[in-house]
Amino acid sequence: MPHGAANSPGPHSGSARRAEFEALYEHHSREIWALAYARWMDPDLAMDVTQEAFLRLWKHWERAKAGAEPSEEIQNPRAWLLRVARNLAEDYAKSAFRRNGTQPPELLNGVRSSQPMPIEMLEREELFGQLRAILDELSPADRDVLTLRYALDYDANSIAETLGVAVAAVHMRLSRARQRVADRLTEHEKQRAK
Amino acid sequence: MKVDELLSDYFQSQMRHPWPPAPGAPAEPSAVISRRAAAGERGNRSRFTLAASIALLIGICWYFSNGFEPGERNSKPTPAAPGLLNEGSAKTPDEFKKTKKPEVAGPMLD
Repeated sequence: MPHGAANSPGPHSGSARRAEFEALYEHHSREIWALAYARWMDPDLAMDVTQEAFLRLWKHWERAKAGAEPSEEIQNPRAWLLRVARNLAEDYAKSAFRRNGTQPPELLNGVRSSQPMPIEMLEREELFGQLRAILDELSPADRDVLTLRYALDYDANSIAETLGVAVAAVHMRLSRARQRVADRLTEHEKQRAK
Repeated sequence: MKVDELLSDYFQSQMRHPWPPAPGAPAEPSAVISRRAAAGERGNRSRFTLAASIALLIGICWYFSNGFEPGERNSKPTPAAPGLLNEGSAKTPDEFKKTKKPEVAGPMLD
């Protein structure tokens, strides 16, 4: 369940500020990761985006405390973090070619270990690979809903609150995405059986 | 495997276990103070190195100017020119004094 927005511009003492920062990270880092993951389907990139968003929050608090420059007061850190993470993900889209060259990111991300895996692990990885390809075909909005639902176990109300959409829309997207995944998996199994 | 279960397994496998801690925030006051102290120590060390280098340079210059052995310095004056003798005088030698000056005859008028 998502926690409510912590309405604070940032505490003034160092230890209190650090404690609030840790609490914010504990409460919101996973959903920020989930939304970044839904955008790019890359767990490591999503983690980089999450950490960078929180670092920027900390620096913002430091600047505000030092009065170094007039900065925006953060009334809702969670919304601020989600916005920063979204912008970071979009920035990544613009620089994706520079970072990956002509190599599709999924080829690089598929290389995880040189160690041989047991047959069960290989089958599982193959199934996850199919699922990944199916999820890639879905719209980012549908992936947002699926990721919050299955990675964080959010219910429809929490997803609606996080994404700022109606609960009915969440139900519709969830149902549509699940049906799409089920249909495509069935197609894959039929093709393998032939 | 049901779709719900598969999706749940997949997304859970994508998340890190354990979840990484919050990114470090090194700007705590105590950290700032310790960093400044470390920077001060580094500054003292470089000032000491600079002073030692200058002292060494001055010492080398002094050594090559024979500063450590002042008693052995050559005190004899250098001749003004290679053709001149030391302890020479401006007196006319006796051999030159014995030579008579030849008389010059006047014009023969006879």
